[in-house]
Amino acid sequence: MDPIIELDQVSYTYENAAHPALQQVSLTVAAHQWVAIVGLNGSGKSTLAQILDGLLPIDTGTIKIGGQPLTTDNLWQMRQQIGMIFQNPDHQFVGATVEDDVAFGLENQGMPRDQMQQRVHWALEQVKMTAFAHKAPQTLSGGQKQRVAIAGVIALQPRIIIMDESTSMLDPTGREDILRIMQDLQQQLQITILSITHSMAEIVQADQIVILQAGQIIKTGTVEQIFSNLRNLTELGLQPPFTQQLQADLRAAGVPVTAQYHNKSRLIRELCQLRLKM
Amino acid sequence: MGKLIIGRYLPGDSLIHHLDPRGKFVGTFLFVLIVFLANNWETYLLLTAFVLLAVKLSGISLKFFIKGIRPMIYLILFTVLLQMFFTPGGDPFWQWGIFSLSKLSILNGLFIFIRFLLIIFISTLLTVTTTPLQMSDAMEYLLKPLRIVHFPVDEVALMLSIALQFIPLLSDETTKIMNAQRARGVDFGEGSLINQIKAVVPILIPLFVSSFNIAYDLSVAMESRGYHGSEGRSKYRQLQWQAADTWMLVVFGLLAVCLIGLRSY
Repeated sequence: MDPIIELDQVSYTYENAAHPALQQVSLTVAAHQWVAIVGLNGSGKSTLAQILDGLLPIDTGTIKIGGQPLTTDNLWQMRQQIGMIFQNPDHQFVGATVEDDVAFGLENQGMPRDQMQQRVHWALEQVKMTAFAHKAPQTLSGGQKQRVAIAGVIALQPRIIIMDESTSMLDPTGREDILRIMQDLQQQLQITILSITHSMAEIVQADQIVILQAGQIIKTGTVEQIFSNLRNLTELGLQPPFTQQLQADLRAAGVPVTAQYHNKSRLIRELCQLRLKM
Repeated sequence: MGKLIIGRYLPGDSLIHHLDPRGKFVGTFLFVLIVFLANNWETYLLLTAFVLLAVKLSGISLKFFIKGIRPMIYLILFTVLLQMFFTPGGDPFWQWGIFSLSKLSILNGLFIFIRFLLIIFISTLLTVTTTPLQMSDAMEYLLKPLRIVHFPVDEVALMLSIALQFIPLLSDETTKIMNAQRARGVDFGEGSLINQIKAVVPILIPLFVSSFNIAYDLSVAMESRGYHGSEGRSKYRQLQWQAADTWMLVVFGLLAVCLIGLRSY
């Protein structure tokens, strides 16, 4: 598959900061993938998201989106290909009603009004918020607000969506809802999703995991590759997923399950097979 | 704060609710000018009848308007009394030093009282039947001519609409900060004036800091959604001018003509 995002030796240092927030970061993301970016607080995850959208100017290196290098001249065209959903839903509303907010990005593109109405309607339908179109965003719950934020981004029909801890302020149900909506949309629209997250549910369903530490990428790989070694994980500040913790505990208790990472259904199958052999 | 009714919106489905906010805005402004045409009891009677009819049409009970005046009643009475005692002319039936009362001055005070009531009623009518959003749209439209002198109308309108919709968020934030400071032992509204003012500082500074943070987050979110100035933007929301709006302005015109007629008569 063609790479949609290519970072080559990218560095960025905030003003007055002693250490660079990102240091010689190189990363390639294939199109239509779900990439989880994980790391401790202050490891440079959000900075990475913001430099991808051209919100922060990089010091060195190159960024290519869809094969084209990101420069100050083509910044606004490139930005049309990327949608960002932020952490705090309250701080990302511009419109006074739900539909106004969804239309905001379209207004910026100068889209004609009748076309905008169709898009807004479509986007709200995707996130199942059509009934709330005329409500004020303040009257919605956290999960509903985040759905509206998603609608605002997908109305622009970007090729890449970056979720910057978008589910961190939601309750478990709200988080699941958002995750399911994003998975559906990813399948349906063939978008690439970069999700910055601490949520294990989100991490284990990603195609690729990128681990950042102190502004550097220290590991990338699939879920199986990353979670195959339990001891390594805690050093990276990552909590092992529930199934892997269970595998480790079972092994410690003398049950001969494999050390390799299994997801829930595979672990269940292996346990059933072990039971049959006993 | 909870008592003040001016500036609050009451949802409804009346004729007045459905009028174009631009028309209502202009109408209210005209009314405030028209009120000054009135100078005798016939004209005041006509104006009062007109306002009561407008209130009736809005479907909001008169009680609500009267309640809305309560916080301002002392200010109004003070002005009216000043007018009564200090209006010279007529033959005073009571006098003490510089104070005097005459039939003319009492009548004058009464007229001013009615004038106040009418202006407050009609402006309350505007705000209770128009959403803040419609209001800012109307203002944006009415400010448009200022573009000729390079006044940034779109930016001001965007600022206005963002400011309006962040009021609830910031007031929630204020309550949160106040409660957090109370939990740490700050007393609000107690002690001497100096101490009360000092107690405001632990609310004000975190509130400022948090508004800076909100502004930063919002600007990043806006930029990431492609906002780069008002140039080349289209508009999703559109106001619709209907026949009823034109009729409303015609009615205001007729009212003015009647008043001028009654005034010289």
